[in-house]
Amino acid sequence: MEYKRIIKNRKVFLLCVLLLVTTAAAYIYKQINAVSAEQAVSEYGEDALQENGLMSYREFQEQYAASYPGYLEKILTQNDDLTGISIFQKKDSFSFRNLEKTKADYKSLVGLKAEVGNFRALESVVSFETADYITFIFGVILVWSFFDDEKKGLWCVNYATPGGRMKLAMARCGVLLLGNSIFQTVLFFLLFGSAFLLYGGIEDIGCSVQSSPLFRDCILQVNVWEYLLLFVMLHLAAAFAMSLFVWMVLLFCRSHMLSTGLLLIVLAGECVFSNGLSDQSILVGLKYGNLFRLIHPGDILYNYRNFNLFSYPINCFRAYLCLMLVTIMLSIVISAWITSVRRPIATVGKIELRIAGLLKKINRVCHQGLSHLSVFGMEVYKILVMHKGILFLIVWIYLLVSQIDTRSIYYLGTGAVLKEIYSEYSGPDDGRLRAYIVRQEAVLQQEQLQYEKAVSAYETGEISREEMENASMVYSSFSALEGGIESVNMQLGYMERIKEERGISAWFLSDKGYRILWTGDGLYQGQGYGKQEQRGLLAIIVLILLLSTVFSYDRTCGMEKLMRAAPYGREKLFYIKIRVAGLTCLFICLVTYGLELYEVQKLYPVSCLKAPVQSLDFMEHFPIVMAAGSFLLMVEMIHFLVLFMTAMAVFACTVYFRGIKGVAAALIILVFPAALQMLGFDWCQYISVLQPLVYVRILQEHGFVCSIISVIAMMVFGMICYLLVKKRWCQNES
Amino acid sequence: MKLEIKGLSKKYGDFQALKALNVEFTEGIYGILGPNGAGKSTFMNLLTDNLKRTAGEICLDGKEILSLGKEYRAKLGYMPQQQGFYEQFSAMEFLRYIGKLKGLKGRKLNGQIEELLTKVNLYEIRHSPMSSLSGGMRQRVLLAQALLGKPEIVIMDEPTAGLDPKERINIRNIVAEISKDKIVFIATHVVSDIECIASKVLLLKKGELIRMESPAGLIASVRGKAGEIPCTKEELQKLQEKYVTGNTIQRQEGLFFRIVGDDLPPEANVIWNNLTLEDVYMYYLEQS
Ligand SMILES: Nc1ncnc2c1ncn2[C@@H]1O[C@H](COP(=O)(O)OP(=O)(O)OP(=O)(O)O)[C@@H](O)[C@H]1O
Ligand SMILES: [Mg+2]
Repeated sequence: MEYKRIIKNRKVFLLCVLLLVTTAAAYIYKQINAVSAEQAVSEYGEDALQENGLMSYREFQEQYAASYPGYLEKILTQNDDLTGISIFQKKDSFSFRNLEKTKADYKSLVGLKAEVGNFRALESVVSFETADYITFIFGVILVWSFFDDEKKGLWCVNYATPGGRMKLAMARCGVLLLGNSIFQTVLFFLLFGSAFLLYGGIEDIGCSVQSSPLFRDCILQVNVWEYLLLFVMLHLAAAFAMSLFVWMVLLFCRSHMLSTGLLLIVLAGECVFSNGLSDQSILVGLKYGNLFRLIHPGDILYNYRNFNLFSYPINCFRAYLCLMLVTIMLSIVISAWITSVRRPIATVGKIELRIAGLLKKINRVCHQGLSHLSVFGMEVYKILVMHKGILFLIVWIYLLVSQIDTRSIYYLGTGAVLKEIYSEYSGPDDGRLRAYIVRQEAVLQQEQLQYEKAVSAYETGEISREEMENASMVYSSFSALEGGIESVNMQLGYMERIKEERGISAWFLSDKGYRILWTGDGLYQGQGYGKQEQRGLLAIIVLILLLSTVFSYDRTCGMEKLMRAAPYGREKLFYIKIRVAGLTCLFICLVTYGLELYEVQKLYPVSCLKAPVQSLDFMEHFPIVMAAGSFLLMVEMIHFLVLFMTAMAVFACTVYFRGIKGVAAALIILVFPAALQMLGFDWCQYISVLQPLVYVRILQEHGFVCSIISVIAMMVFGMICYLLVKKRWCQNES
Repeated sequence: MKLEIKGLSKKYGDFQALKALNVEFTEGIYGILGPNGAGKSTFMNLLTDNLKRTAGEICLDGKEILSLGKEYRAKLGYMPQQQGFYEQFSAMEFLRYIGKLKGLKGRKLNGQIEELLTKVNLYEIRHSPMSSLSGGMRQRVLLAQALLGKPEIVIMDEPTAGLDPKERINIRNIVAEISKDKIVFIATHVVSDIECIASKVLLLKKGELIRMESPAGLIASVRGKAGEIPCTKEELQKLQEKYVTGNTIQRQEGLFFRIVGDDLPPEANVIWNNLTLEDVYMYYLEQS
């Protein structure tokens, strides 16, 4: 019965599917990006690769395979050497024992051959960390679904049935095991499936796992597919242990707020230990025998490590397995005990009562302030606090900020020359720059003459080799200037042409910042619009999460009837809700594009906002003459408008489909095509909201007319949604 | 003030929940009696325009309420049947929120809220979150909410569901007290809720208005239609099988089985006095 209830729980089921799909999509997106970056690099050709010390995967594999036996030997003999050194001779020291143990452990690998093959599928999945965190989220959702029946009063019914308590506890352990098994199986099936499809290499599955450099320290004698199986099983066991642990902690206190807080504190502490401790620390045992590692096993299965326990070396992996077993046993025992002993409607414990009392007091103070909010403020409060919108916002802003690239740029060679010229001569074409260029060209010519003289003098033997080298060095130091002048001349040529053809007096300015903002050539050529699209997609997802409850919640909790009977509960409340949506969009826009501007400003500041936008050569065909600043403003306005129309679509979805179905509908209509488009399904661009949102892309790739049509189509779509929502809310339902 | 209902009907798909209702209301308290599924809530939802009607008109002083819109709703106080709440709000916040939706502000709003909270005996716990209130307390918050803004038309759907006897009486008194110059509708299937306060009672059955009359008139109409059979506990079961709608009464003198109907069996003592609305309810609504 318990199984049925969980599976029938549509919310849980939908969330799981969503999690699985997101993970697979994120994985594929990451891999596609990696592959295309690799391709971009390899297009420079073999020579360039070699020059930069880069190797193709195959070559690297060959080299590694050849060196592997040597590597093993080195470990074994180095051990012997080290034991020869005096400090290690103390037989009861940790170092000595550790070396002995390492030697013994690696001995089993002697004679193992690393083969040349393609192991990228395994490597990429193993290093895809997101999967671990998604699994954890799944576990938490599963455990939460246990507590649903408390709210619905089912618990009392359950509790009253004979044998219901112990049975229930056991059934729940079973649900956790089964649920995790199914989820992990499907998840890794998806991941490995797409990995082998992307990278190939299924034929090398019989090679020893040490054939891949990532696993050279794995002391298990297994081949790739065996390793794969072990990997999945380990993750499954870890996920099971973790979900049991979460269940136990949540059972601990009656107040869910308290127990969730407790869980967060415990996990945060463990996370700090896991990431903060160095491998040399005395407490290193805490680093690997760590609950956080149950969420994210990481390299525990393939990296060889021992830690010091009373000067005995303990294998980290062993310790990890022990921890896992202990966690599983303890959690099961404690949870079962709590479940079978606790009564559904008991009073809270003393300590809990005290903490809860304190919280209540704080709560009361907040609530007193709250009742003075206007209706508008109340709507905002509902979004941010009642529906945990503030959490979404924090996570989202954290994601955005963590992606900001703030390294400072060092200008070398031509770049430095150009920087100087830009700082001096940016602005309208006033002839000063041309004069400067003419002067510099003269200097350059002078240098060239001198160099040629030196060359001929050297050939006739008038100057020594040393002097010749000097001259050549001096000359080559001017090559940066030459490059700079060339680039300036090109820009001047463009300015002249645009003046002739369209009568626009373009400015001389540095376009790098604008390029990052408005073209697919960001920091390097051919980077594409990935970053803009990612930001856009994130914005849309946050928008959905924040706004999906604005209309649907009043309906599900039965407030709608009351509101609609109040004089201002229809049109006025509707407009208030629309205003809230506007505010939300404005905020999302400000954060998203404010951070984008901030990042660009740090890397390559945009200047000359008053210059006509056609001063930028990639904007040559833009039909309207306007200042770059105005264009910037226009693009941001389009961002806002498109987001606002997206918000209307979210409203329409949640008004016509109730609860979680509405969210699902919004995701399917708004996020799904956008994600597909990002994954390279080009036909999706016609139905993806990302298209008008990343306005500059459609402008660059399809021209002005297309871009305007796209934006207008979005406006029409949004207006239709708006009218539908208005009709639904302000008029009575059928 | 006159509320006219002309040919009002409502269909859910093929199911006729309300059949062509024609009735007029002036100031006073109207009790709407009917068994489960009679269409009481449907009628109230039509009155508040929460539900789209299939046919008919509702006019306030000759003007259709749909075209009156906000103006009509400004005169409305509505207490829905199911308890719709924001669980995290306190009673105070909830009332404020609704008050603002009703266009009340500042001191006027605060004054009314305090007055109403005191009236429904909730002033002490006005800051506790709604989720910690008992069912009856929530019901009273809902009542207070409906009375905010001094509405002229008050629509209450089972206002006393889940209340203890004392609170029932309290609410009845409140309703009686505020009903001056107002049209008050109380839908219920508990006769005692409206017994002494209703100026008219509407009997609703399967979407049809069977009768609308003053309580006294209704009681008079069932004179001679009720009877009691003295019985023992053993006989009771047989009687209950025979007369499905009968009611058992325990008196000092022993057990009585009270039945209503046009043809009473000879063994029953026909009752002429002390008839109640309960008998009216049984006679009109429970008889098949
Ligand atoms: N949304 C709906 N869709 C279909 N049928 C409905 C809907 N709402 C109510 N009904 C039907 O209409 C009839 C009248 O329902 P209504 O809620 O008005 O009864 P009621 O008199 O309020 O009953 P109760 O005393 O139980 O509150 C019932 O038979 C019910 O099944
Ligand atoms: Mg009802």
